[in-house]
Amino acid sequence: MNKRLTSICASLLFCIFAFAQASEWGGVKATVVNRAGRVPVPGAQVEVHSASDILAEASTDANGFFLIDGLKNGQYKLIVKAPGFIQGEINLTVEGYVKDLIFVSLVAEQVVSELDDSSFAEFDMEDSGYTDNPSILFGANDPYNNIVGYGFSDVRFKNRGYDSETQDVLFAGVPLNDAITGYSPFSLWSGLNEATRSKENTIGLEAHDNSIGGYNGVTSILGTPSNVRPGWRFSVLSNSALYRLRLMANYASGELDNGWSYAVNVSARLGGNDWVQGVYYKYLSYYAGAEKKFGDNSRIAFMTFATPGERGAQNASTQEVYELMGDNMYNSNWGYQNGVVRNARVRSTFEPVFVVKYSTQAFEDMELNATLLWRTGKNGYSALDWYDSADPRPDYYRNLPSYFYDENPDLNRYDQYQAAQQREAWYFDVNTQHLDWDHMYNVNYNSENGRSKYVQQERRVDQNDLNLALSMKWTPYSFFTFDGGLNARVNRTEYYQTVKDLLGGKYFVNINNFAERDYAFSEAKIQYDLDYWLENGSAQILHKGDKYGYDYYAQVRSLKAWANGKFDFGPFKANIAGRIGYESFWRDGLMRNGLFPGQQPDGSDYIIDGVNLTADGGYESSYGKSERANFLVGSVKAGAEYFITGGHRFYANAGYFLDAPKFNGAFLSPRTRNTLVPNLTTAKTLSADVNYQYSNAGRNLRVSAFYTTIKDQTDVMSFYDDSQNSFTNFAMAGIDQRHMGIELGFKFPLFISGLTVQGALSLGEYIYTSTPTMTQTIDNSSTVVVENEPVTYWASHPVYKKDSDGDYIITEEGKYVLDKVQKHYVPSTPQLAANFGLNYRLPSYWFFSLGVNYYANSYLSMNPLYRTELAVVGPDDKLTSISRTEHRATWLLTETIAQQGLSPQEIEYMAAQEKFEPAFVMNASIGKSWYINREYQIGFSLEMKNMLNNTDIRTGGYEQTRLIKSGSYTRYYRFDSKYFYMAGANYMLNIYFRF
Amino acid sequence: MKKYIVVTLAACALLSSCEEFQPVFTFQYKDSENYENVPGSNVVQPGDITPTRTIAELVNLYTPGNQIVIEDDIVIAGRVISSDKRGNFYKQIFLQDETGGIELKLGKNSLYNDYKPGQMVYVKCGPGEKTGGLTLASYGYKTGNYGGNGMPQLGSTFHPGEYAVTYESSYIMSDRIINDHVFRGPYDDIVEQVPVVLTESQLPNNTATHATCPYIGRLVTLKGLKYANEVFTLLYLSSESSSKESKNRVFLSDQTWGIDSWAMSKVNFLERLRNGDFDTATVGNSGDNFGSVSVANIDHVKETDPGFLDGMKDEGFRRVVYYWVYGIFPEEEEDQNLAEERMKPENLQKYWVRYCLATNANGYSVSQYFKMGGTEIQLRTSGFAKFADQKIPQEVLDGSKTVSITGILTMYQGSIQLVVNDITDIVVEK
Repeated sequence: MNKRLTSICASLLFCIFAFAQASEWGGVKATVVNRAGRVPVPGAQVEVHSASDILAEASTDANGFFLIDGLKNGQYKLIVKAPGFIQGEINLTVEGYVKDLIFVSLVAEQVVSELDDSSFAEFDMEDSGYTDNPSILFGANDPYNNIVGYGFSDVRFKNRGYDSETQDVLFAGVPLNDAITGYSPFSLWSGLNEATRSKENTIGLEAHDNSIGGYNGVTSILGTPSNVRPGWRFSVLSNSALYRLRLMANYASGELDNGWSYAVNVSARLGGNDWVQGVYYKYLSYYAGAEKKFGDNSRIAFMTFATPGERGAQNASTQEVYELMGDNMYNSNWGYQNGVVRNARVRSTFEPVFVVKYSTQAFEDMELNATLLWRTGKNGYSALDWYDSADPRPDYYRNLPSYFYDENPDLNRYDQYQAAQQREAWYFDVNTQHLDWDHMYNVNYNSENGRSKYVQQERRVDQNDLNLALSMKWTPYSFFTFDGGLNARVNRTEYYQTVKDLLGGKYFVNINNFAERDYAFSEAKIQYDLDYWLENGSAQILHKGDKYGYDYYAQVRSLKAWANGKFDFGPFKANIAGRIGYESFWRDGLMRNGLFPGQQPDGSDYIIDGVNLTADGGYESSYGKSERANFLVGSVKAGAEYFITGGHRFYANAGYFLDAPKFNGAFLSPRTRNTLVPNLTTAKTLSADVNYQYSNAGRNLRVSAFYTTIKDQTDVMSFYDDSQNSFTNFAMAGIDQRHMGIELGFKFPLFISGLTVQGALSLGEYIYTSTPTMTQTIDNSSTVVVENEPVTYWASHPVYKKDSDGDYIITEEGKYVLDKVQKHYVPSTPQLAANFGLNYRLPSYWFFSLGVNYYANSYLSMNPLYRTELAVVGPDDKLTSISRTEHRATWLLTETIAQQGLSPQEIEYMAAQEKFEPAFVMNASIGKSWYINREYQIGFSLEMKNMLNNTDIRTGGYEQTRLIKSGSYTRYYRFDSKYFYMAGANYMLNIYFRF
Repeated sequence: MKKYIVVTLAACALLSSCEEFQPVFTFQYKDSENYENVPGSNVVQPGDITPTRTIAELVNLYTPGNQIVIEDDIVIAGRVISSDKRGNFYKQIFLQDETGGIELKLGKNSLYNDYKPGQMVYVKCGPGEKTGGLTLASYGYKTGNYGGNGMPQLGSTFHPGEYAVTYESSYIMSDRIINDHVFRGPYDDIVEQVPVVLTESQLPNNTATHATCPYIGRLVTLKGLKYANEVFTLLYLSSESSSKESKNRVFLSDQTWGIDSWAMSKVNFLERLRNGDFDTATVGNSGDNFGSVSVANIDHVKETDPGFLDGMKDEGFRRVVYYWVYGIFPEEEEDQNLAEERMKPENLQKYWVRYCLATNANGYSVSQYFKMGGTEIQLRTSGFAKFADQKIPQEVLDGSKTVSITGILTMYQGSIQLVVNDITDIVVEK
């Protein structure tokens, strides 16, 4: 007791003495250690920053110790860097003495960084509009992003509900979002984890040094050889949910004494998986770069990378099919050929990218960068095509028991006998369950003159994309930095179709199968290539590799200038940024379709055998240049943040954006004609967020709230419609959305050393808020099926009150009573996603983690046709104009209107949006690494996902676009929706070796 | 160090030998020409299956109006004589032996890819290994003075629904049933079927059966056919279930209606409908509530579609009809006064029936009639045939020349029909 009292008194005396000695100068000292095990980290680089200036630097000694003094009293940022560790940042207050922090602990790069999100981001749902991109990438020290970016990828989580094209992705300073679709182009470097590991991220509305970004963050991959971690790295990865094996090797020299840096990264991804039969990978990926530093100020870097290879794709099916197969992972894309699984839908790509980047410190306070990037090559996606023969797809609706029998008599399907037989066939007959390749070959072999009736086609999207990015960073004052730049882009993408495999036949013919059925009287009209036919007098005979069907260029040009001014007044920072530019695109048809020939060069119509093809095609042309769509685009945004001692940061951002529609959403039917979507305009987005972040002593927390409105979007959805044997296109204009919500992420150490708890919550409401218009066309017909029809129930639909017996309540005036207006939601992502987990790291380099994810409020993607009154009223279409107007204005529904076909039951049936069941997923991982002679590192990590083996979790899907007439012809029914499911229990094992 | 490398390499070897590399073929498939010719499902060799009855013996089990599910072990064999390649047959093949022909209702498209003309086909009519017996029935049997026999057919049991038109049998659509009952002979045993040339006296009468006329359902040639200046087609005013109600039907018959092609495509048919070529045709008959009125008359709509006049008050709806009639929306007309006048309900409603026929009718199959001596022969053609809209030569239309037609002889309500495989089966005689 006396000792303790003595100690307290001595401490008080010391404090009084220290206070008496207070001066204007001080410093900092500490020992840098690995958080796991408190092992000293020698050679770590320590920097003291004030705003963007480095005031002092030091390196740790062999014991990890450093000391920096001579610092004026004030607030600084202490940054500690060491190879193999996540950069540490500490807010430092100097108060007249050398502060002893005792330990500064660094966190070893997390094991999940080996399990790159792109590994899991390659599912395929192309025809349903899904893009194969991860939702967001890792954000350093942001607990929310660290969890969400990878942990939620199994449900294809879209952060804040935004589409992937809203996230700006840069490579070596070049914005590389796809020019045609806007999608972020992660597939270009899949498998090149080491070469692309160095990246900078912003989230939400935050701007970035190389781009002011949009409202969904910026991911900037540095990409130059000097930014690849030096040394040799090898890894072997195996997983059971996507591909079996990934082999990867990487070497980076770091900066050599002669100023050169080299880096090479190669990998192979091979094999199938445990869950979806027919899905396989056969990819090689490579990256090679060389960089030279000239003097102290300039660098030039050359890089090239690509991921040549192919993969078999997965397909969505209806629940009926999944139940018949007893397997929610059923894939209808494959069948047996000679006893071997063959997938009909194969994506094969080889899109090399060539980059040259020059950067220089032109002046002491000004850095300049220039990057030229060229993307070229091929991108193919195969599919079956057939002429005058039966639909070969196993899950074609006429092959299902439901086609023969349904309990609803109004569907007029009464044949229980054939339904039972077909059910048995699905249970036991492999050629019913899967593609029957042998039958297709058999038909082709025995076809007259060897004309193939079935072929495998390849839809090609071959890009030539040239980008120039110029940027500067100028710091004229210590409190002010100016970033600015110019981005120019020339993109020419060729869309066409080729014969990939004649499947045993000798030739195919370039004619329009569907048009032949309708226009038998006109041979000219059924030609896919009318010019060939006119020149040769017969349709083109096709062999392997020949183009057919359609062929056109998408031409895109853009030029944008941007600037970002950043103010740094110590704890207070702010920025204001703007971008202005010009985007332009047009279609350039290379094949003259007989249905839409346009006019002849002399201005006359194509009149052949008495048929005016030009007039029949509405004077729309498939050939030559379309009208050019031009857009002035721009954005402004501003942000401010305030630091409070102790690791507290408050920040907020706001922005307004004018974005041009993308080429793929701008043409009514780009495969067949030059016609632009009516009312094409820029999308207007207003977005804001407020955030609080806490980061101190290993405790990290972020809370954010955001609000975004997007107006005037256009979209073209294309689906294959087997009733038309053709693509049908729904062009929508005037789509408005509102996204609002909160985000929470945290990570805290617990009472046991090495044990941390982490969690993330994303709770939002992403809804549609407008009534867009819809125009429906079919590729193989000049008929406009539906033109400018309001999609009345797109944003919401009315729900009317029922009594206790479940009958709708009708007032004495004959009115139904409105109960509520049911909102419709942005689909294909959970609007509530949460994670909670524990991590435990031992000094012996073992680590364990256990986490639970919860997903809810996920919705199925909507088909606009089902949200029109047309679909609800039925084929008899008795709804009068007055009824329609009254109903639209206030959701008024009377008995009279109901008798005209707009009954409350049918509104609910046709317009309601499907909500997926919520789901729990449990994941765990374990790993360990060993250091050998402090030079070699070998380790492994094993992650087990969906440990409860829940195979009933729907991750997405879409509604089919067809309507079924009822037996009474008074109403329509829907076709069954198609779904994708999450893989059941699966693992990912990574073994790595570094030196 | 070395042991870690060995462990790593061993792990690689273990993983790369995983079994899914076997079933998932990740490298190139054999070239098409090198891929062995697979025989196709349900192809049998001679002797594998032995017919137990002739087609006539099978058909003779049927009594008019009484379809039967075959429970006995009956096997027939016949050569294929039909082809849907040119689109004039739909979900059916015809088989013949020396005793007669029969229709096999296979509910599939493009059957000619699997069933080649001249190829032998064996049909196990009774219960198969997995599925029950087929149904022997007739299409087009009708009692009464104006009736007669129809065409014998094998199909699946028909299950009547609340809204369906009733038939004696239905299409066999389930592959399981087809594979259990229908077997193809080898592709190298295809024997061209030579049509039988018939005289008028050999033609069946309205009560003929296979027992009395061995040519029913067989491939025949009829010579010296003279154009009868008459077509037939049936249109429906509404696509509702009341297709058998006369008030819902419009017959184009008893004259040519200006139709001078062997078959008429849907597009061409709609064009003629739009042009008013059929405005004088009769809706329903005198027995209907509204009496017998023409297509151009809308007096009947109060009966057939009470909501119609309300519908015509709807400007949006009139706009759709306007577009259908004039091929342009009213607001796009240069002469807006003209558009306004045309848009008036009283001016637009006369197109209502035309519009209904265009949107609801599914009968685009126009048949031409010919005469062989005194016997009327209906030439059955489909609007979906690839030879649709080919003109009949003028000298045939004016009767100065006759034609020879090779086709399958079928019966419908006692009348004779001839169904051709292709337009080349019709030859203008010199």
